[in-house]
Amino acid sequence: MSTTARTLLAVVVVCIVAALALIASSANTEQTGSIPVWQSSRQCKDCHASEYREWLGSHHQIAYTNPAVRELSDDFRNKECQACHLPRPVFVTGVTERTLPRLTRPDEGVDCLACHLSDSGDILARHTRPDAPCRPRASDDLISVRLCETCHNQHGTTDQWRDSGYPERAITCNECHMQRRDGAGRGHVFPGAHDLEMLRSAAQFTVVQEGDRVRLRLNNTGAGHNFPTEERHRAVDIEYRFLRGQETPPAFIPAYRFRQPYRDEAGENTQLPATHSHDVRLSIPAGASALEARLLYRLTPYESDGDSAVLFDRRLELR
Amino acid sequence: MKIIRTTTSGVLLGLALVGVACDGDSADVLPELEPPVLEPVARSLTLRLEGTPSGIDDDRLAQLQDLMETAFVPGVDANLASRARDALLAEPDAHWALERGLRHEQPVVRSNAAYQLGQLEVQAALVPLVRRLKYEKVASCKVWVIDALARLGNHSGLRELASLMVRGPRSLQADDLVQAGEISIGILDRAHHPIGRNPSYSELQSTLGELDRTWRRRGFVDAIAPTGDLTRLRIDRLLLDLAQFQLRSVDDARFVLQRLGVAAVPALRTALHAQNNYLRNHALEVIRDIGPAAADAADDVLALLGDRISAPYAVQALGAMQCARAAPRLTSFLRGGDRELQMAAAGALGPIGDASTIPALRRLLRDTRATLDARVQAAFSLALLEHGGEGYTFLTGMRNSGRYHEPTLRELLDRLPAK
Repeated sequence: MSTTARTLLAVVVVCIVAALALIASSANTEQTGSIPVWQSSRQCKDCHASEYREWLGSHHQIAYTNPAVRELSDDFRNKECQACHLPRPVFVTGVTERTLPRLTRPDEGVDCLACHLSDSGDILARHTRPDAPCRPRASDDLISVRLCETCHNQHGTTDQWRDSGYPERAITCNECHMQRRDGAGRGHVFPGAHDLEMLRSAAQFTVVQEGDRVRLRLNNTGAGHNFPTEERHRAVDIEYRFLRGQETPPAFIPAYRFRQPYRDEAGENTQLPATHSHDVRLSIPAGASALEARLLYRLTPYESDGDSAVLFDRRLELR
Repeated sequence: MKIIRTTTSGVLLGLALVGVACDGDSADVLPELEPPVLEPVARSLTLRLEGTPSGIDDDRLAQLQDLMETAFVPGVDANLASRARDALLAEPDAHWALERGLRHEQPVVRSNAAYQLGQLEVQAALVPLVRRLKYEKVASCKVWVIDALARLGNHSGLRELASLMVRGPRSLQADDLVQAGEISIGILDRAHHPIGRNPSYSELQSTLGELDRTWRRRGFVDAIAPTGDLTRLRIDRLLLDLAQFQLRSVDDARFVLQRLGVAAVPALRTALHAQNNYLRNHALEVIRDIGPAAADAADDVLALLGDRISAPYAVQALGAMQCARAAPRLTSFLRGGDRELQMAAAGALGPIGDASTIPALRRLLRDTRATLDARVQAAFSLALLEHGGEGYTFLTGMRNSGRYHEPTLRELLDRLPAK
């Protein structure tokens, strides 16, 4: 072989080795071999467009960027809040263990990987699908209360569920918060305290006259946990006012608040457990012709009446 | 044979060229990271604490509390109160009642309890006093907690003392302001920090600020006091609290441990070897928050770079500790792979202050294929190392464009020295 040929061969080998190495390094960790390294929810959106769209803008996705959350957590100066609002994958840090905070992708909050990435780096789903690009592996834990518990028992919600009678009826978190879609699969919006329809399905509010008194009753008929539950910021208020003929209606008067106090606050937890009811009885004042009562849901106890959600609005003509 | 030699040398040359193209930072080959050896630290702590008495008899405590209330609750006859106070302070176990007094419903009792704990220099009161620092909302009480802590060799409250003297909604009433000024002068005197004879409040704030920075750098005052048995026991309890599920106990433990400075470091080092993820990683984060004063823990933290779960927090801690030994390894993380590690390393190298890492940081900053998270952190480190420059321009540009998480950018910009 001539010197030129040998040099040419060496150059060719150099180029091949260099090309292979550069291909490996330039993938920037997204792809190693045929199985991607899962690092972001954005990797999911092409194949799971509807789930991605549902998640995008959900309160899971904005868990870290939501201005209300930032205000309540003192802009996450309380770093403990970060573990659930920007979590690492739950299966990596341990199901039912407290999760640990992620450092990257603040805009993704509770991302797809938080629930779907396994400890060994593959994707977990309801069914094993070796033919799918992400090759999901079936996991029972994925649809279990234990998975949600990692974050949602921080304020006692899954403990409340365990005492609610719902487990015996096999009603888990997913039955209400991950509703079945018409087609295949379940929704990824996770409706909760920000969903008026969901809130209204949680309870019944009735107003009846009992002689010279009225009874205002809130019954937790639809939530498998306390109402309100989760954060101590949530509050449900019963308010009322008596009307007298043609007089201008007075302002609403607070009658009862359902809420768990902040840890530094005095007072008892007055959240309404599942299947329980609470009555407020009021004496009817002389001359009153009607009663108006309403149930307000406040995302924070400081939220004004105008900003709060009116779940029920009742009017009772008095005899 | 000649073909083989030529081809082999070509391959080696090729690999070398590729190596330079991919890295370009250093020819040093770092040893492979090994997983750390972890132990059942939480279990050992639980067993040890279960077998250790940690309080006094309830009846005895009730007696002491009666004395304390008689001494400090307003409305009691002055002579009786004075005798009760003398009797209480003569008791060697008075601190148990005084510690309870820190949580009394009446602010005047809380202030007196804090004052007396400081005067008695009961080192065991360090933990309850720091915890009170977190929860005390009445400014006139808080100044006495800070004073007591300073007398116990803990300056972690000085920043708050300085801020209490700023006019604003949380500032002190006129009388309390004078008191805070006198407390400040006393603290500065004892710390041998020069201050004029009639200092203004802004001079006091400024000098307290200097003392606060010294505390944050060193984590102790004058000399490291030996930690007593009760304090060690209380610190061990705090470690166990780090492993709890509910936020409040974790948050309390982190708050106190961080503010104990160097005194907490030996216990935290033990926790770094815990099998319990939560305990280990919270200990890492507390060490990060203590910063350079936790330098003794460097070897334990370096060992956690081989732990898949802890490594990103270990990187952050090494940065905050300004651990120069970690720079080569952290620079290697900039190349990519694990994005959490890459981002953590990019943000840690600036505080470490090793200028030789500038080229690698600059390369990451300019790499448009890298994540914005990593590039933002690289910009922060560059801005620290170059006192502004390209990194600072990138951060401010990001902030103006609204393309990245604004609170994170604000926090990073706040951490840069004022221009």
